[in-house]
Amino acid sequence: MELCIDRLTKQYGHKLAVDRVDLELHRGVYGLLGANGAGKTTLMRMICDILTPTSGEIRYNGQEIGSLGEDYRSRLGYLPQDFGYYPEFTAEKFLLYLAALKGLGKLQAMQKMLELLDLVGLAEERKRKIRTFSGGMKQRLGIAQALLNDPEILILDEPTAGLDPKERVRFRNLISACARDRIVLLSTHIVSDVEYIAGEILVMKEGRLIHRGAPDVITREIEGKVWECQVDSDRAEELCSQYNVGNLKNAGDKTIVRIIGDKKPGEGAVPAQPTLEDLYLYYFQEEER
Amino acid sequence: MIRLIGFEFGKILKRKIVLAAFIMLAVFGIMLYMGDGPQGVISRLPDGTYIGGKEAIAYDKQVAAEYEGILTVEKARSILERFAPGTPDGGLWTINSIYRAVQNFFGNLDGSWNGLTVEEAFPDYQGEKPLILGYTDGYTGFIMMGMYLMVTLGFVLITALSPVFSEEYSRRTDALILTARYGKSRCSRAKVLAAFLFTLLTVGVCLLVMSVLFLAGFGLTGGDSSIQLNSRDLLYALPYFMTCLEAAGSCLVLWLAGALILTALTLMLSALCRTPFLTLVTALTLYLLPMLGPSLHIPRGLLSLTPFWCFLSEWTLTFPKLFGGEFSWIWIPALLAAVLIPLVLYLGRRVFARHQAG
Repeated sequence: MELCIDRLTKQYGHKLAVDRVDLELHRGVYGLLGANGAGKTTLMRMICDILTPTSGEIRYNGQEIGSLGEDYRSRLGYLPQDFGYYPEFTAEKFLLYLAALKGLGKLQAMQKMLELLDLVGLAEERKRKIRTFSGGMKQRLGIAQALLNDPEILILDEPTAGLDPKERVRFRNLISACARDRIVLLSTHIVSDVEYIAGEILVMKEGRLIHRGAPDVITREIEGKVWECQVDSDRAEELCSQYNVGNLKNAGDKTIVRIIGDKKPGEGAVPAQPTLEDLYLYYFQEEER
Repeated sequence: MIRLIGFEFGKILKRKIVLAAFIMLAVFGIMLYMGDGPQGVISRLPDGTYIGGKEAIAYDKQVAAEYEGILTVEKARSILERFAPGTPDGGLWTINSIYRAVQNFFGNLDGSWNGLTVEEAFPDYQGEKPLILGYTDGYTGFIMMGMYLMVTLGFVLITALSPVFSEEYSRRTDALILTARYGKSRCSRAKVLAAFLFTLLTVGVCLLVMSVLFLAGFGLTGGDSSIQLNSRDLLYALPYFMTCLEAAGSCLVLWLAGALILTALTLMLSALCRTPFLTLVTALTLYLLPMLGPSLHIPRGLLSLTPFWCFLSEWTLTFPKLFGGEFSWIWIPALLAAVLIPLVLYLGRRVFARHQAG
């Protein structure tokens, strides 16, 4: 099971949305991190064969995905960012419709629909129209539809958007459980979503894949670039305006400031153990500001 | 595939706007039926009493039966004289179906004969057989109502079918569909087939209900009479021999062809446009624009292929026959419709499958 992305490029006018991305994906969970406009969604759409690359190609088990056609799509599950639905459909009908599109038989579709609605905690709501669902419920339904055909390749674009913390934990466990025998690529802004479950983190910036590796390996790259210092509130404000600051934590009348930067921010600063969030901030703080 | 067609058909049918369009069509149909149906028939008996509805139809049929057969100028004059002003039978406004028909072509305003022969009264007629006089009100009423009902039905079809593809784009469900196994193949075929099924059922039900109502009201009487000889100025310029029954049948072919062409056009626009509203506006424009065709001197042959003029079948039926009178023009739009169905199946799939989702 190998998904191979070879010099994949997507250009809109003069803007390169995805710039010569090379990637090989095998079984496991891949977390795709990047700021808005980094090219994550464009990359995912090309992997799903709903967006034609300007150049480069994607091969699955050695064959170009366009030529695989139905065979490739039968192995694919996709949850787009802000996924579309039919408000007048019930959850049950929505899944049965997509099951028919995915080529599941009537009986198999019914069984899978019940199983997945139960898995995402919507079994009781299956007769309700989707328009009455909360954002989190819709997102769970979206996750269920992506799993309908037991896909070998699961592409999830911002799957945890709209989920509350409890639902996010549930989702992480669900992905961990089903990632054993498939390729899961999920993009998110919420670093903690991938920190625990992703075997490999892919960092995208300005259309290019700038980093990849296991979470503990790539965080090592910024070792010595994360600092903590305990200062009064005036100094904390000063540091915030001067440095790339992560967390601020109150400790009595002092504030603990976590700073990400190449240089030591001051005398009182001590090196801290970097996390994935620090890595994200290290690369994207300027863009997020 | 059948399951997919069922889902797609349900998606078309369950939109609230479609329900509203059907209600409007039904209201308009009832209004048309009140005018063109049996209730709209009024006749005057020899004693000056006015009668309406079924009673008037029975009386008109009885009078028409006395004059049924080949139209001669003598027969026309005899009808004019019998019902002419000043005779015991009444005056100019003494009306019955056959009098109204004859008066249209052979009468002056005072009810006297205008002096025209059959050939002069029907200058466009080049048929080999003589024109046949008979009771035509049922058939002409059916054709009149059918034409306007079909023009209205055109709006219903456009409203219902505009979202077939474009709503998937605007709702962003295209990404889910196009990444599913059959999303780029069977799904678009199911959409196209469901749309044509919707059209066939809608047109079929409308025409069936209308036929049953007219059959119950007027019966089949007059089916072998010439359609040109009627009181509504309908098809008077038809250049060849055609019975009322043939005219009704030809209209059914044209109406169905028009509906299928309109469906094909709307589906193609739906696959190409990014929103249902844009599809709706474009389809409506293309549907109504040919109305201006005759005044813009656009070739009639081309206009006859447009849904609007197929629905106004009276206009298209007056085209001369092709291939030495063997082939009626109505089969040209029918042929076009038959070609468009597989073409839309192919092009719809191609456009939808290549759509760049997102």
